[in-house]
Amino acid sequence: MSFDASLVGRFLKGDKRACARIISIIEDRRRGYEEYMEALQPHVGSAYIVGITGPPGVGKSTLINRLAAEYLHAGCSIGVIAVDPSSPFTGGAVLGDRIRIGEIALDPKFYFRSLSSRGSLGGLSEAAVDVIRVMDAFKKEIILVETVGTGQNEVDVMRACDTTVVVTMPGAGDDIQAQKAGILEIGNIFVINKADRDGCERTLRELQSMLMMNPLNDKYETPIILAKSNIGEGIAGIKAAVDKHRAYLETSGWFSVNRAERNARAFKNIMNLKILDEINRRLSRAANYEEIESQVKSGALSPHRASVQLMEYIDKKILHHSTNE
Amino acid sequence: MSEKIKVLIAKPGLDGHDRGAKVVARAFRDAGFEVIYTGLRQTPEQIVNAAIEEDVDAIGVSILSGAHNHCFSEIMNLLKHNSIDDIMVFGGGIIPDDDVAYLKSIGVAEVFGPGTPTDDTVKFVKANVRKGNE
Repeated sequence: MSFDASLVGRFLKGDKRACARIISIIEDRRRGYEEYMEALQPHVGSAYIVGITGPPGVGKSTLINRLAAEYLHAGCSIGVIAVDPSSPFTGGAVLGDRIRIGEIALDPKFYFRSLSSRGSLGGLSEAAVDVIRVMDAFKKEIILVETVGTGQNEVDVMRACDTTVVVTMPGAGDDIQAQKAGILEIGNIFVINKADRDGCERTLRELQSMLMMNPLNDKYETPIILAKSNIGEGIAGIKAAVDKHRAYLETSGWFSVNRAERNARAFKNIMNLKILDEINRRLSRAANYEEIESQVKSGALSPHRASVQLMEYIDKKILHHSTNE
Repeated sequence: MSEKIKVLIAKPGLDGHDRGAKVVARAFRDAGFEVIYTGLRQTPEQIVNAAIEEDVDAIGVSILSGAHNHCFSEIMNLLKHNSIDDIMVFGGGIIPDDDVAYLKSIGVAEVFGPGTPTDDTVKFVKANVRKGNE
């Protein structure tokens, strides 16, 4: 499929179907998707991006539904991107985050899109970051990004957000503990959801003591908000906390520093993936690739020895060949 | 990354029996599809809006309440109203033969009754969506 300028034209006029189609092209990395990113680039940059992460079952989807409604009520247009894991075996996925969207689903200022992580080959974060940019160009003022928050891929998605909200619930202290490498550092706002459950006090104390280990910042104190999203309690507080963090980023100068770093990181990640794809493509055409692979399978050749052989091939045939072109 | 076939599994109407919808959703997942599951009691407007936002290839509608003629014709009308002709609609549930003929006449691709092996449904969708035939 080649680049369709009329699709971009419809997109810029606010056509939801055009937006949906462009997201698919970019998510699937279809041939020529870069041209769409390029065409949208001048329209990117005005959205504020809020990541919502936390273990399964803490109520992220319900919280997002309520928070989105709060923003819609305040007159903002909202995009939601919900990332769900796919099966590493079949690549299939059941994406169920729409279940929690209530009456706001049909609000013309609201757009919800599910993304699956599509196996473990990497590239999730790049695709998700690009989908964020598409929604940005689609004139969504606030974009909420939901992830389960485990694993490097999802931490990378959160690093593409301006403000990251980490959601937990009473009794899930161990989960936070287990995830603290990464999650505690990226959380700008913590929410203890389902706060009417037993053990809320204890979870609050645990979180407070964990946050005390973070480097001191006298300009911004990481808030912990108690919420009951199912009945809407705490949602206004979360929105206010996001506004406060945003104001801090903008006055301290971190906003533009973070965004510059994010752009650089996106560039580096995209390049790394493309280099890897290209080298793998050329390698798979190498005359003895299948032979080496079958020897590895049978155990006649160790994976390490095989990798050394292929690296020599890359060095001699691929890299050397290119420099002489 | 490659193109995946995306299916919206929707449950319109007031009945709360979503077991069939969930079994079918799971079968599609196991066959490598991406399934968007909307949950219970969706209006035709919500279903078509979700199909548009998620850019799906097919909509599978599970309905056991008896309101199938009404729900399906609403969905087909909304698709037509939005000039959408590349999303396949299929159905499942307890639907009398006479009604199946009517549903097909308004553009529903197929209706799978109780006892249909999930494999048959998966194969049918794979063979008949836009993406599978490109």
